Amino acid sequence: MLLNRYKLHLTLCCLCLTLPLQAAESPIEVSGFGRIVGGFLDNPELSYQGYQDELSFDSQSLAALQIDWHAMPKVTVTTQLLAHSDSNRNSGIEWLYLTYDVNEQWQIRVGKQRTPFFRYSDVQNVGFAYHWVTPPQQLYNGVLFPTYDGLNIKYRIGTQDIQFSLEGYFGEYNDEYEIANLTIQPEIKNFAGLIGHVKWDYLSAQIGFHRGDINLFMDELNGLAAILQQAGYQDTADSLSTKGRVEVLFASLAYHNMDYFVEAEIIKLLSEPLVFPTLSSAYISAGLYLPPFTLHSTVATSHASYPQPVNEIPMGLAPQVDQLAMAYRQVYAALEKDSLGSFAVGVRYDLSENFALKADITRLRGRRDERSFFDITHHESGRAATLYQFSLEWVF
Amino acid sequence: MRLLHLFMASILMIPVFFTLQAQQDEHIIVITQLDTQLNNVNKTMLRNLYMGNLGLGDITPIALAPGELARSVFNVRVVGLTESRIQAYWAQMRFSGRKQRPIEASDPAEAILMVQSTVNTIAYVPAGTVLPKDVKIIFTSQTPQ
Repeated sequence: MLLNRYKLHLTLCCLCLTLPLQAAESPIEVSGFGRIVGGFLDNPELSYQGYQDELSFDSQSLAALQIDWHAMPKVTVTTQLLAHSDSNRNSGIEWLYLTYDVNEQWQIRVGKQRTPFFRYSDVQNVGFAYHWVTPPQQLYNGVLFPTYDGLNIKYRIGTQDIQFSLEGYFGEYNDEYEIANLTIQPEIKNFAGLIGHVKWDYLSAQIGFHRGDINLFMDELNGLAAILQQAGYQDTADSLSTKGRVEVLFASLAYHNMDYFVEAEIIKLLSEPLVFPTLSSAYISAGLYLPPFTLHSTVATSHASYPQPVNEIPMGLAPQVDQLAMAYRQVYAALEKDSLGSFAVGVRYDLSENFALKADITRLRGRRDERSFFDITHHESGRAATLYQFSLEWVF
Repeated sequence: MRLLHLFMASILMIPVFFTLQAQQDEHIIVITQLDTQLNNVNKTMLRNLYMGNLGLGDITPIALAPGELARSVFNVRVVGLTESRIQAYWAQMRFSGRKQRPIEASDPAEAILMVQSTVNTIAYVPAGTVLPKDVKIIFTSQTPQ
C-alpha cells in the first residue's frame, strides 16, 4: 500500500472541501504537495531510513495540504496538514501559525512552525523544491527538532545588487522525539536562533546559530546518576547529565545560474546532555541544468563523537561498586555514533511545471564500529551499502 | 519492445513547455501604465522583482503562465534561470511561507489588460506586440544591459 489509506482519504476530503472556497476567490488559498518515493538497499544485513533489500514505498511517501487564510490585509493564518506513509512518523498538523506582514521589510510569525536549521529544513518534505530524492542524511536526519512553538521575526533589506535578511526566532518544543533508539518527550526551553542570509546575483550565503536548554526526562539515566551521586562519585554522576544546552552552528553557500549549480552546507552540533553526540556534518553538491533534466552529484560526510567516560569508580572494591561501574560503562557502550560518508549521483526530470521525476543512487560507507545511520540486523556486518531511490514529486 | 520504446518516447515528449527554448531572435519588452512613475528598469531590477526580492518599491510584477514562449525568453534573457529551477524556487518560498510568486496572466493580451487596469504593475510581453496608447515600454531585451 503506497500510503496509509485513512490519512490519504482525510487529506483528499480536506482538499475537496476547500477547493470550492478557492474557486470563489475567497481569502482562502489552498495549495499542496506530495511525493511517492520508492527505494531499496543492496545490503540484506542493513536497513537505512527504512529501506531494506526489497523495493519499498513506505518510508518517505507523503501528501500535504497547506491552507492560507488571508484574515486581514496583512494577516495570514497558515496551516499545513501532513500525511506520512511511514506510520512511525507523526501525521497531522505540521504547521499552524499566524503571519503579520508589517511591511516589505518586516514579517512576524507566531505559532507552530518549522525550525529553520538548514537551507532546506523548512521544505524538507517538499521534494519538488530540491534536486535530490533525499537531502543528505548527515544533515537532514531528524536529530534536531523539526518544529517549534514560538515567535519568528524576519527583517530584510535589499538594493539592486544585494539582498540581505536576518531572521530570529524564540520558542519551545515539547513533542515526542526519537533519539538513541528511544522515543522521549523532552522539554526544550529558550529555544532560539538567528539566521543571516545574503544574496548577490546568483550567489547566496547563509549562516545560523541555534540553541536550546533541554531536559530529556530519561528516568533510568537519572536514577543511575542519583545512585552514583549517593555513592560519592559526583563527576561520574554529572557525566550522565540529561539536562543542558544544545547548540548548532550552520553555514551554507550556493551558486545557481542558467547552466549549473554548486551548493555546500556545514554544521557543528555541540551539546551538554550525554545522549546528544558532538556532530560535524557537511556536503557539497554540484549539478548541470540540461532542461528538462538536472544532473547532479553530492559528496557528504558526518563525524559523531561522545565524551570519554569518567574513570572514577575503582574496580574490585566491592561487588556492588563493580556493578555500578558496569552499569555506567554500559550506558556509554549503548551510545550510537553516526559517522557516515556518502557519494550520490542523481537525475531530476521536470515533467511539467508541477510534476518532477527523480532518481538517485547513493553509495554509503560508515564505520564498522558505529551505527552510521544504519539499522543493523547483523552486528558483524559491514557498514557499506548502495541505496537506489526514485520518486514522483508534485506541487499544486 | 516496440510498445515500450513508444511509451518511453511519449513520456519524454510530455514537458513540451520546457523545451520551448528561447530562440536567438526572440525578445521581450516590459510594459507598464503611462501613469506609473517608472520610466526604465534594468535586468537586475527585473530579476529582483520577479524573484520576490526588494528593490523596486511598490511595483507589482505580472508573469505569463508556463508554456508561453515569452515566459521562456524572459527566464533565459532576464532572470537567468531555467523554468525548473524557478518552479523549485517558488515551491520553496511558498511552502516555507516566505514569499508569494508573481501573479500570472494566461497570455500577453491578458497581461496588457491587467497592466492597463492597475497602476504600478508591470508585465512582459513578446517584442513587437501592438500596445494600446496608455501603456509604455520600460525595458527591452534587445538593448544590451
